[in-house]
Amino acid sequence: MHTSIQVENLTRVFNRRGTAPFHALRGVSFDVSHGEIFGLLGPNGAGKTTTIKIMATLLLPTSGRVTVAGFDVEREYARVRPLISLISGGETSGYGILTVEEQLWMFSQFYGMETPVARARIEEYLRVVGMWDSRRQQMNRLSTGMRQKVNLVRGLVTDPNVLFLDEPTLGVDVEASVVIRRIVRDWVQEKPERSVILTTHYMAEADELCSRVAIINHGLILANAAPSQLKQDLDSRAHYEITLDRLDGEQLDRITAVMGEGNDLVLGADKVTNSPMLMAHLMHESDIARLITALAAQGAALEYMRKLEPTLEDAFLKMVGRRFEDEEETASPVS
Amino acid sequence: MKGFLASMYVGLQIESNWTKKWVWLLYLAAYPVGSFLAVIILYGVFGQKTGLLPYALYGTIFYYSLSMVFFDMAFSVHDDREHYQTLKYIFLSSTSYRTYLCGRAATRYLIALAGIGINLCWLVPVLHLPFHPSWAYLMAGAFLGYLVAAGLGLAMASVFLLTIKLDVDVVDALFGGLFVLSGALFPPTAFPAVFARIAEFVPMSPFIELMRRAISGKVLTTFLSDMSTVQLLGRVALSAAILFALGSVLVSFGSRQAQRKGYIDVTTAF
Repeated sequence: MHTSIQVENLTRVFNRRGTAPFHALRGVSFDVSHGEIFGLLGPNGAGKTTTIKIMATLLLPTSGRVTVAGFDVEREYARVRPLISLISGGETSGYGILTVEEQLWMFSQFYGMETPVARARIEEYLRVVGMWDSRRQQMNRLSTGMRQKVNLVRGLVTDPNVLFLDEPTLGVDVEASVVIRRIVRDWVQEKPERSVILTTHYMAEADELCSRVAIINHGLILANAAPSQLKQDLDSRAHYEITLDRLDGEQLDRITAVMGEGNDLVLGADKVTNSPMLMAHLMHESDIARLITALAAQGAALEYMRKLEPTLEDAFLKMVGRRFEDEEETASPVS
Repeated sequence: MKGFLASMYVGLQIESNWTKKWVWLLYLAAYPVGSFLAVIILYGVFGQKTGLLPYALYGTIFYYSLSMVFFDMAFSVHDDREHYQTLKYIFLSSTSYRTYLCGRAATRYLIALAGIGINLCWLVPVLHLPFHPSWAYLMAGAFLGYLVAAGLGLAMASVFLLTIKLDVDVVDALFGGLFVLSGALFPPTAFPAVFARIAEFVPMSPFIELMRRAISGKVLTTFLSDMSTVQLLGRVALSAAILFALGSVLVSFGSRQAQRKGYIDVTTAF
């Protein structure tokens, strides 16, 4: 698969008056292939927005090298820019006095697009996001979700090869988030040379969209793998939650002995029905068959059973040691 | 060119889209009056004997047109970065930031010229101003004057790109200083020789004098009177070329430095 983006040993230091230099990135390396949606996950101030800004030619690195479509973002930024689009969430960008259509047409002109082509694409994407009927509304009359949809259309109308999505669903309602995710997924599959870099606070979003994610914290990449791989690496055991009609301590001891070492069984009670509930942590997925047989041998009938899958958030928590927090982005050059 | 025209369109919408078209046209006519009124009172009422009203009024009018370009370019940086939050998207587009700034300011310039035109329709007959326009000089001067102001505006924009908090005072001071030094309001020859000498080299002076002559059809004071109109035009063309080139270099430099510092998308909620 061809490489779309290559990030090599990237560092960025912000020097701020009166405070010690802030090392936002401390040697970040990864690459993104064509056709890929690559996620950058990390708490606020981890360095993900700084990384995206450097890749999108908004910020220069202190050291290291980034290439997009083979062009160096530091030296050949003029060749990179026509190939990329940046869409940031959680902002109210746009000329409020322009209508949706005018705003989108204006940006298409900044990319030198022919007006008929631009108008056709604007209509196509506005219909996709369900905003064609709102095309004559002024930007300042739109809701946050609608503005973000327009922002997405702005990014797509110019037909870029690389889409940088920085928290694209931040502050957006569920319906708009679903639409945005669907469009991004479809868009990247339309042409083989396309790729997406996504930063998000929403683990489920990254899990759903990304073929690979890099977990970044304190300017360092802690992991870089497919979400399924990260979850698997977290715990190789299989976990089950089983509700039974009856099971006592003695029966449990006998079943534990049958299952052997490495398979942990914890007996509790269902919070709603108060029925016995067994948490089974098994060495191998196939051990579930032996467990069900052992339970049947003890006369316990299954009422309900489900397999517990580790989430991307579990993997994130294990690596970063904390959940996403609502702290301020510490990499801002202003603070 | 598409980027330039789109920028002009944004400029027009920002200027005019806040109200109904007829209210805006009324505003267009009324807006410059404030700038001229003080001059009319100063020279038309109190300083009537000096005979300097045409000199000062034409000077002020054309200085006003340049200042619109100058101010628009400087404030566009903050406007787009902080208020509209579009600066980063403009930077990432295929249109150069210089082109964008020039497009937006061009609209402002044309609006200012339209306002001047409307007001001259009543100023000339009411105040008996000399009016023997040379349209060729007026058009050439208007174009070159735009380049002069754009060069200065680009230089100011480059400073604002590297400033994360808006400092209106700096622009005001510069605007005021250039207004006096350019001889827009007073003939610099009325002041000590050194002042007149400085005024000759203020980039806006030859433009303003050229436009005075082009519209009135005569030399109104001794300031720059040793130069023919053609020479003045040449001087304005030279100033335009130098200032526009300088402004372009500075805005490129400012853009690169802003990229280095991370100022392109910075917001301070000013």
